Amino acid sequence: MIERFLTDRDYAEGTAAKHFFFSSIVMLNIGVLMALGTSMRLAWPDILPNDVPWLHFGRIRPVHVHFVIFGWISMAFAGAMCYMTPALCKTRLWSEKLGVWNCWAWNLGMVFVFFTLINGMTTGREYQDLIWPLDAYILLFVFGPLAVNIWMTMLRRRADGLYVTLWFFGASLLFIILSYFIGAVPDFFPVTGLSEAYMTWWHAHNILGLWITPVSAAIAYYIIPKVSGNTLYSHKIGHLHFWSIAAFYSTPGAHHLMGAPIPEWLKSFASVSGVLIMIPALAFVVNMLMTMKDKWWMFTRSIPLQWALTGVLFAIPLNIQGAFQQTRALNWYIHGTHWIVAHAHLALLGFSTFIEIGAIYYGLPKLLKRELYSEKLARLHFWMMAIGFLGFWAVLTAAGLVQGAAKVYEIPYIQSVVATHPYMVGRVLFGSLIIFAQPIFLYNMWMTARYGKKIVPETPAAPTPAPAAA
Amino acid sequence: MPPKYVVGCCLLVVVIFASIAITVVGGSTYMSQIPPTELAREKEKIWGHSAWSVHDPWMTGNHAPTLAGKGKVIFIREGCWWCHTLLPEQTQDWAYFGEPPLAGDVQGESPSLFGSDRKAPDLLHIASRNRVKAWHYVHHRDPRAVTPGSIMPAFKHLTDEELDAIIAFLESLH
Repeated sequence: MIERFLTDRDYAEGTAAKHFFFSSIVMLNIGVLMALGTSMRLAWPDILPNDVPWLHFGRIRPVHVHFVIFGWISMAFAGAMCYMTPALCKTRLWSEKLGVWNCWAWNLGMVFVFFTLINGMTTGREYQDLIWPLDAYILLFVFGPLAVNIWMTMLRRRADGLYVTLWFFGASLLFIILSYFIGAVPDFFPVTGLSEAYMTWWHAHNILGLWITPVSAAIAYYIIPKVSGNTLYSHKIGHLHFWSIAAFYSTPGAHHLMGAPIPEWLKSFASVSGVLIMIPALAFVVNMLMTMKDKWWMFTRSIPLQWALTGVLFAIPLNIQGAFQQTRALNWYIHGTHWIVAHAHLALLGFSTFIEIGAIYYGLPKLLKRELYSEKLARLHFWMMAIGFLGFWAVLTAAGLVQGAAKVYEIPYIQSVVATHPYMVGRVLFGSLIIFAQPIFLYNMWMTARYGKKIVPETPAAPTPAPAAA
Repeated sequence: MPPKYVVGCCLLVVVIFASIAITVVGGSTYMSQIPPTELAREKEKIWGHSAWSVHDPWMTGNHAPTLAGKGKVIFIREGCWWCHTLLPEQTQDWAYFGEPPLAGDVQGESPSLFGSDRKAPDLLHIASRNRVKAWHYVHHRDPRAVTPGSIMPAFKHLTDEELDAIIAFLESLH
């Protein structure tokens, strides 16, 4: 009966994906605006009024993190899932209604997230900052319905096989629900001390390892073959990627606590499996770059490919850093410095965001059945992001090395703060390029929806058959 | 559904739950056996549970067992822990920030506030380094007056009462 209610007289195809894509771009704009506040505060601490608590660094930093991870990246994922899953299953999305409601519930959830974090209502545990009613809300109204919708679409598919992208979509939705629940366990049950810190960081690691990394990869697995016109280089390497992510990426949570008094065996286990992350990472990069064989001229011509491939290329330094910086040999030097902040931005801003923006430049005009409003603005967006990000990453990495040296030689702490000031100014300047590129993105997509040239199909497309009855 | 997909789904569930069993269940079970030290028992008594709860939705800290406990709630609410770690590292930091905590020292604490992104001095032993109350009062209202070059926010919006609580919390970190 629920299925009848959710699928009967459904909204037009693609409604949910359009909602998710537009919401995600708005969230991206809010997220980077918060980043402007935090980065300016670090360079010039008195630049914003000091008597307004909502403008303090400690209040806006968690809002920035949650808006880019759960607002921008996760919603762009939801949009890509609602668009690509039906396309690969040769059917409709199981329920566009459920998808649209899911999107509005998600946006409402982000309003709650903003309100609680800006008022300092938090658990005090990084990446699991949200208070327990919101944890429950996110599991029940954000990830839960999305998982049901995507899994049901896969079960009702009309295509024979399941493509690599679908393995990752299906599995990651299971992973994120499990990981989020484990991260929230200390909010619901009396878990304290080391176990609490460990569960927090296990979840923090797996938001990246089991949600952001695999779903970004899944989107690249869809766009790169589709736009280049080549078939995927190797399904076997895809298998290697998939299974090694499930096995190795789910265990290294403890490497965030290498300096904490947790048991040494747990650190060693995490560190070794952390190095093994190289296997899925290299499998993915090789598979994507080889798929581009003979089509590299398209790298500069096609806008979605330019974004997606740049994201794939960022995965190379990302995973080399990620695999080795968590070993004891390196971690003692760079732990807790700006180096780590640079690495986190390489993952979320370099690798992941570039691929999702590629997905939006590819998918949204197709969903709207219109041509992109302005290719020039899209190019401007790309170069502002690319130059801004590379500068931002270089500046923060250098600042991290300065802090690492200061830490090792144990000079008075204030000297390292003074020494990193020029880098913090650089961070604002390069960061501004990234931040002010996003309104251009929003404007371009809005104008595409309103005034983009309509695409007239050459032959009338056959109507997609209604989904099979339950 | 073709049998190969059923096998694949089962295998995936086995892999992910095996990983959770080894790391989360194994690790937490092992760590829960570490007994709290005397210091941890004392801290648990004065701080209590400091994360958000329905009894104190605005994180005022008024339900904390002591003034230091209230200070810890405000320390969390104002996001001090985004820059100040409470974890001198085992490999260095000894001379400047003091001894790293033992495993038993954080048992029973919630949340433990190790921090991950240190942009300011570690505070685990701040009371052993600086016990001058007046310095702390001035430092919170106008950090650059006592530490030129500091990037700490000037906490002009805190009431005198809240500032008292924060300084009581800092004094409990010895």
